[in-house]
Amino acid sequence: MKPVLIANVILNLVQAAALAPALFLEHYSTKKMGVARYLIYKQRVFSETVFTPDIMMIIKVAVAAGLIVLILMLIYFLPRHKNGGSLLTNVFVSVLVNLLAAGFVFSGTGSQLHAYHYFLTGGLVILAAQYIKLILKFYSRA
Amino acid sequence: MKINKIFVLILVLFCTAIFAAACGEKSADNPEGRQLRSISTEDLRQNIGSDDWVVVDTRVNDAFNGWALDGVSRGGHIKGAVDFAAVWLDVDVEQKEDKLGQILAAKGISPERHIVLYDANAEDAAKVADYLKEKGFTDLYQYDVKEWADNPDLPMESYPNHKLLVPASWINELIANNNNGKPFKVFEVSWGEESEDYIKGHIPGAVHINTDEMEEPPIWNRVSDERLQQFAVNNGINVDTTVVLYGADSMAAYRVQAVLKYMGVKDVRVLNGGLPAWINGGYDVETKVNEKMPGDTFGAQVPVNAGYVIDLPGAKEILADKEGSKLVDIRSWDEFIGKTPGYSDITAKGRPAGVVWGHDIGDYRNIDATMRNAGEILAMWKEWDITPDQKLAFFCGTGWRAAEVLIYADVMGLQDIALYDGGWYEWSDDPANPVETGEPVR
Repeated sequence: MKPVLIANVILNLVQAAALAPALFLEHYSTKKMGVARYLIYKQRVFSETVFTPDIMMIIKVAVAAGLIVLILMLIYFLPRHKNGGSLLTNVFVSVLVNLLAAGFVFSGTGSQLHAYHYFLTGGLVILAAQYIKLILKFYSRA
Repeated sequence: MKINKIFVLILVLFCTAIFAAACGEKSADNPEGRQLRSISTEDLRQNIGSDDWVVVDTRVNDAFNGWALDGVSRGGHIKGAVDFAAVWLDVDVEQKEDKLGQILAAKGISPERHIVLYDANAEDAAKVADYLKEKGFTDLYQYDVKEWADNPDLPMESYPNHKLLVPASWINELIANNNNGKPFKVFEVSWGEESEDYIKGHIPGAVHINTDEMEEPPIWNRVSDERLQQFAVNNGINVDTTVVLYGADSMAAYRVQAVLKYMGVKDVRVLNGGLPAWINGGYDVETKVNEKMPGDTFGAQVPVNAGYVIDLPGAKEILADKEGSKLVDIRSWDEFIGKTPGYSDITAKGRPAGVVWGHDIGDYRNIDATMRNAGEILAMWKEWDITPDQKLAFFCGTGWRAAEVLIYADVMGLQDIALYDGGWYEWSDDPANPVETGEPVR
């Protein structure tokens, strides 16, 4: 179980740090012209390469599907763990994280951020890490 | 007895110390000790131009450029003089002493030569003299330039369009006199909706212009002529408005000045030396935010001076005319040779094929951020076969540094000049445009 513990610690650190670059860039986007112009340039590059409309559609579908699966899991596990339990907690947190990610990806307000693609990347990293933590939780119970 | 002797000794030492201090103070107050040798107008006239004489204008840059300040009857500098302003000794910059030393060397101000320091206020020359004495200069003369200026037969030089750059005192008078009832506006120009520079303190009455109002992505060219017209109306600028621009660093102000001239505003000025010149002039700043006061109409169809700012086709025409025209690169040497793109949002390195290097903007400014001596600018250009009789278009990455140089060229009286707005950003965006890297073959 020790490797699982270590993996969880690493994943928690990754989640904690994932949004730091985006927050830094967003903060300075209104203070430094060089940062503002850099972000406008990167927005253009990301939209044409990494986050094309097709890829964004795949991301939206994946996030929505993940949310549905997690909600179904929550519905399944809730009656079986009436007194709580770490697995249920993990599923619940995963639902919340997925819900936030879905809100960001589907709403139009996120794209108003100067460092939007950095927030998107950070958010997807947090979501992926959460899924891995959930899988590890299942694995450690098995 | 022993105690008495000690007491007397202490008393003698005390009196000696007071006497020495009084003598030192008297020496400092003694004008005889501080006074420079004077030189007559006739001697100055005979020696100016000799290799072993240097005539130094110690006044502010504005006076050197052409403004008649401190009661001088004619503006400008004695023809043949170099500039070393007394105010340069007070600037707060890194490695100041090294820079001042380089300036002295570059202008030929050396202890082996006879140095004539002139001013109009009986202070600047003495201040520079004190500094030079510390550096080991001994052969120093002082001269009141009013004597020279009062004689119309003695040559003085001023830049034809020196009024494009204004001293702080001129702005102060403009505000105090309300421009004698004629419309005027003072703008602080910098990037950002909320400018920290503006908020920290600005010239009283100044309104902030965000450079994003008149340029746009992706390559940060000026906005369309229709939007420029609206930009002017939003800021209450008409073709007849006297517009005064400045910034903590005035590069943005020069950018807007160039565009406003392109649009057709007849009277656009920039504060020479930026906000520090205002503050060092002893004038107050305010922190109250002044809102824009829109006007009704610009008063002309933009652009009135279309040739003042050119685009890619114009730049290519200039390159095609190898003898009569030059496309001048106002970027660093490393950007010019392709060692670095110079910007976080430009990845391409190099230069348009066929351009010449015009030095980076730092080489166009004095240590107090005022305009460098035109003679030195022309000498810098001559190394790259850039001459004032050619059609010159200046460019950089996105048009800021080049705009400042364009205005300096305008101040110097050059006629056929332009800003290539798209610059390296636009040129490099199309792989079909020819590019060079490396040091050019000369």
